Amino acid sequence: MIQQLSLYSHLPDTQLKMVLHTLVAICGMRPDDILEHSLVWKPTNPFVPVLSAGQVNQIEQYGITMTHDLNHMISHSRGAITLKNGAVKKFDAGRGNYCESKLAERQWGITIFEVPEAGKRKVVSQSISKAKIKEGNPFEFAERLGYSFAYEYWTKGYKLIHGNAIIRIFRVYKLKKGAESIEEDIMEVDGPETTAETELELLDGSKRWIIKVYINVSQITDLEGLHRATSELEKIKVEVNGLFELSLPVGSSFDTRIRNR
Amino acid sequence: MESPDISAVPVEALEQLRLRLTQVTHSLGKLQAQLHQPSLPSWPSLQSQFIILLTQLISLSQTLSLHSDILQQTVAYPLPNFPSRTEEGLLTTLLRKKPLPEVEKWVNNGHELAQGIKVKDVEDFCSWAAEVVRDIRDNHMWFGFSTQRELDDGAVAEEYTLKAAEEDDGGIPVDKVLQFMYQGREPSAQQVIPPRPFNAMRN
Repeated sequence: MIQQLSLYSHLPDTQLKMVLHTLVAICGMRPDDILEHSLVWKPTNPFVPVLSAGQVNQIEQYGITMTHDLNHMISHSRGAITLKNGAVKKFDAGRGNYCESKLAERQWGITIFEVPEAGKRKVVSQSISKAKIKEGNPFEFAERLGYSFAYEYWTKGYKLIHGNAIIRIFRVYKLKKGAESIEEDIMEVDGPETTAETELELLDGSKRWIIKVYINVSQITDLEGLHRATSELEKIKVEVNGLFELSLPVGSSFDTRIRNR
Repeated sequence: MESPDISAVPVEALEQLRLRLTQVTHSLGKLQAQLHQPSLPSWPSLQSQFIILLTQLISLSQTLSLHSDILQQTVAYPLPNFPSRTEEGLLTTLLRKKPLPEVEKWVNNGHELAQGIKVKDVEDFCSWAAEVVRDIRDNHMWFGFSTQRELDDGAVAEEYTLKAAEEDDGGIPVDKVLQFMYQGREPSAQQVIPPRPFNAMRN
């Protein structure tokens, strides 16, 4: 379980080029591309504790996020980035046998996000459990765990490293409405006959970018490390002042707990 | 009691010196406070503070040399009615000509440090500075906003200005995007610009 300290900001599309150039100069590196597909799973039968006097129910259930890196499916040619055919595959929950899906063969990582620490803070401090699936079918695992697919999204953008901090500039995409009928799952990845693509659209039609700057600290008990990371984030906040303003979003935005009360 | 004769006191010279010294003390205090801040102020602001200090030091030394004759000739002594017995400490401080031991140490230290420095080697200094600048520059990657060809063709780069996110693009707030990612709650449609179909994620 790692402790992640983070700050957020946003950027109009028109400012992206300038901000990227500036960050490249500050960080001394070219940005890496981010392209990720995330599936969120929720309990099929959520546990509803019986509320009675004198009984303390501290059982909480969380959503599970599975993320897969699509970067290797990008081909760069003449500066333009094109996805290989079939790279963006929607999760077909309706087919019932999604455990057989081609998506299951990809390299997935599992993440569970804890609610950020409460109280007045300078940065968002959140416990995160992460694991890479090394072997076996991730969807089958989730299903056996009593979880079912809830929703999915894609993240695309850039990643830079500044000291110990990682700067992610990204936009969130969702499945385009009406694209559900495309029989995506039977298509072969990189197959020559594939012409149809899963169509995505930006969650935010204004093309706005989200900026996340974060530092992972290995232990929540590492107070020194947390302190150092906090001041490093604050330093970055000062450094990028004028480019974008880093701040804390509302804590409840990070809540992945299942609400059933 | 007869009032002392103060006509021989170089009031003007002393007053001018006092003024300059107050300024220097004030500037030094300010610079020290800036250096002790948790986040160091920007280089330009430190530099300008330092330049102010230098100017004030120059003005102080000019005032000193202007009045050097009269100051060297003037001898300070206590008046007969000064309570020299009870205020002995103050009196010795005021009349002390030799610098305090710690101040003397500072002065000697300064002299020693100044020995090795040849301020006149301007050329050496310039090449050293150029080398440092080159080193610092090599640690970063620099790009323009135009391609070499555009520059060769004399195209004028678009104007990029430092406008912090003042520009309201009517976008969804960060909170709402995070809510979508963490909870699957889609932000309510209040978008100004209709969503652009995004096919095959072409950049």
